[in-house]
Amino acid sequence: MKLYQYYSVYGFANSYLLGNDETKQALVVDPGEFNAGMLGHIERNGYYVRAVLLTHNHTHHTRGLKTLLKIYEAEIYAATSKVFGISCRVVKDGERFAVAGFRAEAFSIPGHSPDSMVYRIDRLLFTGDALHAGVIGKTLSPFNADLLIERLRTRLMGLDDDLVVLPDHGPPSSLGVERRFNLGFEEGYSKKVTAPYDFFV
Amino acid sequence: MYTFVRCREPGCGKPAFAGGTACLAHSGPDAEAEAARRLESGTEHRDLGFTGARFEGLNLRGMRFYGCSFMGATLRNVLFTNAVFRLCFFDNAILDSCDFSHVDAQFCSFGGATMTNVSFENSELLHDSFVGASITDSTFNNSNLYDSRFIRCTLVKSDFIDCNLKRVCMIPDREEGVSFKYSNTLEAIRDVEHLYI
Repeated sequence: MKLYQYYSVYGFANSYLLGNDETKQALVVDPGEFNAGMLGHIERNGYYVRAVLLTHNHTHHTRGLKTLLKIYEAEIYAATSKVFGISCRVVKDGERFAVAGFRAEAFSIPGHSPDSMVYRIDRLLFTGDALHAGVIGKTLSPFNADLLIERLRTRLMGLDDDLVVLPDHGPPSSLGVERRFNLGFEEGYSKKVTAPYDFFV
Repeated sequence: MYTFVRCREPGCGKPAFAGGTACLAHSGPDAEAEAARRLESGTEHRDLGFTGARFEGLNLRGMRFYGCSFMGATLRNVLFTNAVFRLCFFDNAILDSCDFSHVDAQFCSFGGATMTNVSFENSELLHDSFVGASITDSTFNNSNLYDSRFIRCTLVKSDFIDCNLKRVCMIPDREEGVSFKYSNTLEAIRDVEHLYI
């Protein structure tokens, strides 16, 4: 298994390439950008991108999708049925599926967005914008923050401490560190969340 | 990178040590010394786990580490000068009098680590996590810390002089005797509300 991380200044977002050296298949997680660097890694390793995992449908995490699909015939896995009008294979909470020679498990963690998913492959957790190093994802209301915290606690926090957290923004972390130090799990965190937009203006 | 081999002992489940098939506790008595020799002899290390190891006085100058884990390790007087790190983990490690000066460490995690008298001077520390770390008598002077995070950490008698703090999230639990002289502190993020884009 080979893992590459890419940083895009468009949305300051991370994308990931996960290659399977046995099957020579690869998958891309949240292609916010599909550039020559990623293409180079794929081609040099002799991979073929069989799948794209989308943690949620926000443009700065999906913008590279169309370019990628011009080169590779990849199946898109997401919680929504269409992204940019492209049909996706819809994944559900708790679903386990085989993808690009890996075994993956999907966790539905809404709050940042209704369609937020976290994917586990081996010891890697692709947490999208649900969980970042030190903070949880941005939400539009205390209700959404509460929902996100509750889902993170019930669905992810029972997993092993040494799982690697690979978020869509910022540095990586491990699940044990997030359990102990993430600001989102502090008492009363959701009350501090204020809506960034005033809908009544 | 990231084979995640677990210990062969039934019911153990801990990460395999130094590319072997057993964890440190279930490896032979010389496993640590052998791992130390292996670390010092190579120039590039990939996909190796040193969880819980205790290393002292190693000279790992200029070495390249890809996808290596030092989670829960104790490193004393270890020289990483000029080393390169990608996707490496030092979570919950104890780093005492280690030298990380002139390193190029990108997308690494030092979450929950205890660092005393550690030098990160003149380094490229991009997208690194220091979440929950306890940092004492350490220095990050003249380093580029772009997009790194110092959330809920403890900063005591440590310096960030002339650092690039652009997009650095600096929300420590405790900050005492810390200097940010000549650093672009206005470009750092000091509260969670401004963290999100």
